[in-house]
Amino acid sequence: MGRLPDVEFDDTTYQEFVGRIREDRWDSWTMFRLALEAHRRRLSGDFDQLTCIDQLPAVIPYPHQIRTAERVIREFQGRAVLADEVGLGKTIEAGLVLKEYLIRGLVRKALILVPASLVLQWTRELNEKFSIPAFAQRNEWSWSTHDILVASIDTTKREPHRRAVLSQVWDMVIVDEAHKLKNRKTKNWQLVNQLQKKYCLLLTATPIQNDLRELYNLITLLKPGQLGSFREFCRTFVEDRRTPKNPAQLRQALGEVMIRNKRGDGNVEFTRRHVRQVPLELSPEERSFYEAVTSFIRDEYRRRIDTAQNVLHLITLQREMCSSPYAALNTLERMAKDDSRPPDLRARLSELCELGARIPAYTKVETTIDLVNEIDDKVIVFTEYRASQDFLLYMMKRRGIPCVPFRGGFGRGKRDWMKDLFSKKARVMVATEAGGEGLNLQFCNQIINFDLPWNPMRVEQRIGRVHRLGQTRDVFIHNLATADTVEQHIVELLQEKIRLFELVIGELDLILGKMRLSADDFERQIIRWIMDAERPDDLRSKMDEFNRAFESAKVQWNRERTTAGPDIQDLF
Amino acid sequence: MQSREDIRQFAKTYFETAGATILDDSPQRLTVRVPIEIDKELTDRPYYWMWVEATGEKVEPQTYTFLFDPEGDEENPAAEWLAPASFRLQKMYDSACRRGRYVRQFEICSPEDPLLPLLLVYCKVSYISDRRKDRLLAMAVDLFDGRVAVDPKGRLPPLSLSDQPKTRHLMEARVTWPETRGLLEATLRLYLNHEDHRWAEEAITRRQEEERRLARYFEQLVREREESRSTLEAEWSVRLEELRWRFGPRIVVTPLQWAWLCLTPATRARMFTGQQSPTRP
Repeated sequence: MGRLPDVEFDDTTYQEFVGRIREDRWDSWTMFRLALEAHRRRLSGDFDQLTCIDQLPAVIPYPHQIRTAERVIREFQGRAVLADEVGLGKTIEAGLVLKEYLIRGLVRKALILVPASLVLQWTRELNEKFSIPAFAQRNEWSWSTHDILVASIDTTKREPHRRAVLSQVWDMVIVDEAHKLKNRKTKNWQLVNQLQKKYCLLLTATPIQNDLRELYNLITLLKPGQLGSFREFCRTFVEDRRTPKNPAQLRQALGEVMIRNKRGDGNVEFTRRHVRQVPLELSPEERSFYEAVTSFIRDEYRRRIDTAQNVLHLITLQREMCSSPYAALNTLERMAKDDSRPPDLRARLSELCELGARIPAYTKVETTIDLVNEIDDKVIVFTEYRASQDFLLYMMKRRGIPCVPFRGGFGRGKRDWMKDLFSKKARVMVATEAGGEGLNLQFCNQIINFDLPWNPMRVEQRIGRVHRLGQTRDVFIHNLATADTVEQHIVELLQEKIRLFELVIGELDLILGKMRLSADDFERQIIRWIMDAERPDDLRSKMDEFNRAFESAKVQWNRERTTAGPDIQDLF
Repeated sequence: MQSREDIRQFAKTYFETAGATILDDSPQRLTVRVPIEIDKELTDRPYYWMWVEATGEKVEPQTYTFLFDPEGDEENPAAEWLAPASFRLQKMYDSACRRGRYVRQFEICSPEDPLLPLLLVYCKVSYISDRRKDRLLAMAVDLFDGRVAVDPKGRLPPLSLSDQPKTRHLMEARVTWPETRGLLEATLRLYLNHEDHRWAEEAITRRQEEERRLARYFEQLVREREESRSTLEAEWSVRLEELRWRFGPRIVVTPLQWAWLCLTPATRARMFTGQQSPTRP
């Protein structure tokens, strides 16, 4: 039966009750009944069940993520290395574990250490997806004012922050990109080792980058002695840097502290992706409009750059031109009506508008509708522009194709509603934004990119709505590419050079990281090339140059990923 | 599981009791105008309310529309779906828990009936190791003769109650409040003593395994003279402290709600039969 452990009796409410008797002040009986119901609803009825799943309206975890969170809590008692391959959702797993402990009152104070560039993203995800009140650490005061903090590890290891975190105890510490703890001579490692912590999660997709001994340092933070002393570890388990001795025994010891989900592990299966370009030719009217607007943009851009004026609206116009003449026409009309512009400029804008108005039909919209009819299944059409979206919806409705819109501005209720309509009644969803995690559209396997964002992360987000865990069919991606326009170059760069659509979700970020670029930098580069290009060939040569750098970064990344060699791979 | 109807009932009763005005009430939708005090408890805007108070700004009572079906109402963009895990429902729970903790009630009876004092306390019992489970139980203490009963299911007995006594025959309590407090704790300990605590034994076993592993590790480091003995011993004791903190085990009893009731002899007798008595297991 087991001996009775220590029993603490919380006296707070007794004292308050006695106070109420003195004041003769009482609550209502109906409220008392409601309070009892509320308390009962919040009870964690047993040790094992993951109660947080029912309380997360904004995230639908995958089976392997739930299983991982359960194992961390049941088998590892809250201390583990989460070493899933890129793109399988380590963040979700860590969020589930943290949420469960918070709900059960086992964690109050939590510290999440991440690279500086991820602080805001983590803070946002914990708040939005998990309703966890996490705060981004800002200054010295943050340490004492918030219970759940996301902080940059590089800031935290420096004074006065270091002293502030070490003087407290943490119910839970999470370290993202934990391969930065591979060396125990570093301040990173020593900081995490010195932290007084109850539960601890270390997240990394590459538990070993170069050397088996890196693994030792990670495990020792969680469970000192699990692999013996450092010398014992080297004696027992290390043949050379990349070859383990006694792999079976090592594998078993690792299995007690580490979980690594891999693609193709049965349940973490992705279907195949098929990508194709859908070429289209502009009609003569569209062509003359395109050429006129493009040369206008180039002239204006030069003039404004020379006089150090704002060029943002020109960039927008250029992008809209890539999307559809209709989207550009909207902006041109607005600019032409703007009194603050010089009369000669407004005259030129009006001419452009007239030219645009003469276009009898939009080839791209027609092509899209033909494609939708040809596919004869549910399709999601993505565009960057509200004007293009409106026009597409209008034209499809006229042709009797049932369709629904999707925009970033929709509230949660409306999002769910549109998604439901799309799955049950409509055949096409025309979306301007890839939407947060809440938008899972696995029931659809056809994507038409009416236009492509110049930011590759946004392209990835689009695909991620459909091509994700739980998709049972192969996914087809159709990229519209207008011949002899900037768009064709963009599609070529993303689809054929970078091969963006063949990369695994998350991979692109890592490769760009090798080039010391963020996705936003990449976007800015593209803008600069396009705006600076005198002739189409200039643009092409810039892109070729970028592509060579990208290729070598990719090779480097691939080498690092597999560098562990076959022996080490077998460990996990 | 909590059904839509459960949530609707809870919300409606909550707003009625909290003094809100019900403007629209249907199976799909509930529209209420809430007093400022309640609005404060249902939102997370402390700075806004501080500003309101500091500036003496006049604020109109807020109107909320809740949907019980996510596909409810697309015309009203302000309508919010009261999902089981929604922020708003959680806030309503918090508010109810704060506003329904201590009651004094009298059973409705004829003017000749005597009423006897009794204390009903609802407690949360938390079993904590590296994991945790909770249960809700109720304890009744007869304030007249000191009898105690435990209801392991923490049910609410069916009573018809009122804020004022309908009789003048009110019997005085013979047990003092400190004695009651002592009785509650003693009874609960006795009750818990008869439960199965294998969960705690398992936690102790896990902790001891971990302690042995730490001992092997640090003794080896001392032998290898990697670092000074005192440094190693200091770290060792930190790690041991973490293990005690993580694995426990312990039980925490939190009394949540207190009801001081005056009941007729018949009802009082029912409170102490059919329920498990801890003193005679």
